[in-house]
Amino acid sequence: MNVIEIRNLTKYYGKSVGVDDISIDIKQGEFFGFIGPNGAGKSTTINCMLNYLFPTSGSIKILGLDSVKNSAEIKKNIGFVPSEVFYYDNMKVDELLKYSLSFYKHIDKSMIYKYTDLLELDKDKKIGELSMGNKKKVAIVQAVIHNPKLLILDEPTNGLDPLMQQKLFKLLDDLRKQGTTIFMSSHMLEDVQKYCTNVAIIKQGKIIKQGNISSLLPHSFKIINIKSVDVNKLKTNLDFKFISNFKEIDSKNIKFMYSGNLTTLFKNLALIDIRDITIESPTLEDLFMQYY
Amino acid sequence: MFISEFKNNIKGLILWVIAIGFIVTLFVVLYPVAIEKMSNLDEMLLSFPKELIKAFNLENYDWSNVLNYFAYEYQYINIASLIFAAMLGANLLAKEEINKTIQFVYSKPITRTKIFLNKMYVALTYILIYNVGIYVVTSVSLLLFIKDQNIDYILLGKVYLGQFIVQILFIFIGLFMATIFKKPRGAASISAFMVLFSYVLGLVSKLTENLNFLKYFSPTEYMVASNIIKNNGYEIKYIFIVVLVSFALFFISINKYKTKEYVI
Repeated sequence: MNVIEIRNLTKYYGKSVGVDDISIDIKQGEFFGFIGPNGAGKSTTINCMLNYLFPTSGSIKILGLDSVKNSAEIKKNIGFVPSEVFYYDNMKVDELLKYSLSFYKHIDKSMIYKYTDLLELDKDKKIGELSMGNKKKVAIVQAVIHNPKLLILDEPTNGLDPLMQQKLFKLLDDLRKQGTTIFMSSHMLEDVQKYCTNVAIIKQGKIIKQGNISSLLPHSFKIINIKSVDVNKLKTNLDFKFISNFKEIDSKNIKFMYSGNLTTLFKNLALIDIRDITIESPTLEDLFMQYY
Repeated sequence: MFISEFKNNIKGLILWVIAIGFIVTLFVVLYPVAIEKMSNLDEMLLSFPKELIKAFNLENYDWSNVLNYFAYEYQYINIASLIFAAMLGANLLAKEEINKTIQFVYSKPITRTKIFLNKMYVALTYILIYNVGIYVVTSVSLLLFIKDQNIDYILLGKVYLGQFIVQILFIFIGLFMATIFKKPRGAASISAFMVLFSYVLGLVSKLTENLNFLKYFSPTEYMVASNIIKNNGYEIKYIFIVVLVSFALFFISINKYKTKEYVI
């Protein structure tokens, strides 16, 4: 069953377009990465999924229910971590989490402590006294304490230190293994590549690429970085038939994508004074950069 | 949600009750001084145009009864009480959007209708507490400081009940203002302004007979304390208007709120 089914979703803000005719299917247990630059339409899509905004046209089904008509029913099984966290400054962390739990039925209050301990969060502090990172931790805890079937995260690593980011991804990975579907918008392409099973790339409100990560990444070429004292000589020895995205980074360094035979390349390079060379498989970032 | 909402805003309510309670007590304490000056006022009022006396609700100026004195003084506190109700209605709904905490609330399994209703219930409960609180403060001060008069506490209760009824209308005006604007930042100020506008309209309505009809558009005129005391009750037509307009505003607001976009 598809946990999320977005069909031809279009959202206009007056005359300007937020998202334009996007369709996404996400199956149960997927870790879905939604990537794109600021203003591309990621948050608009999420805001429509949560019914903060109403679609101009198209539809969204979550867990088989319509996101506009059955929003409250859907939210029984959703956890949401917003990009920017807005809570009641005069409430204590503990009070906010209990308030959050009060919206659900039959949830064990001890879940609060499980997650606040895991993320090293001080429950007795007032929200207004928390740093951005700690507010984000509160957002993560309130999103997971009721064991949601679907977790929606909008830039969840914003404000978290690298150690906490790793803890978050470990937690998300554990939840996914237990069957939770995860929808995450992110700038952190390395993490998306590491953890997500499927991705969609959005640009100016349109989805320009989506699918399984390994099938999206081009395996037919390598990214080559070379440092040499004589770049001009190096260039004459390269077969440009198999080279794309050639960049002279400075007078000594070049970078290009190579789709030919590696043995031939090495034979040609053996004639030149090479100081350093790295050969990488293309990353999601390389794929992403192709479109921007 | 009701309990949390109730707790979240309780400080404001307590401050209002303390402030208004203090002023009311001051009125009562100053009664002997006021009555002394009354003889001068008597003569002065005779030289005033009738319309002006009516405009400032001074027709009932026999201050030998403390309730008449109290009703006159209280009309200004009444304006403040109505502003409190209007801003309360607007703020309860608008603040979640202004502070963007609606992002948290509406990520939970709750309908927009329930959010609206919970806010409305909190507002209604608050003004009930507000009136009961100030009624108690007034009664205690009268008991303590005015010992030589038989005071009709039921009639005093009617004054506060009248205020409660008009406050209900202004709560719905506040809720309405918070729903019709895309960005509800100004909703509370506009709602408060509506009270002042209503007061000015009420003054104008009393200046000439031709403009008398304006009083129907001025809710501050519906439950004037001195009229309640004079008539020992309310004019039913005004209760009818309050009920009708409140219901209309309720239905428009709740339907508007159901399709409102939260700009976060």
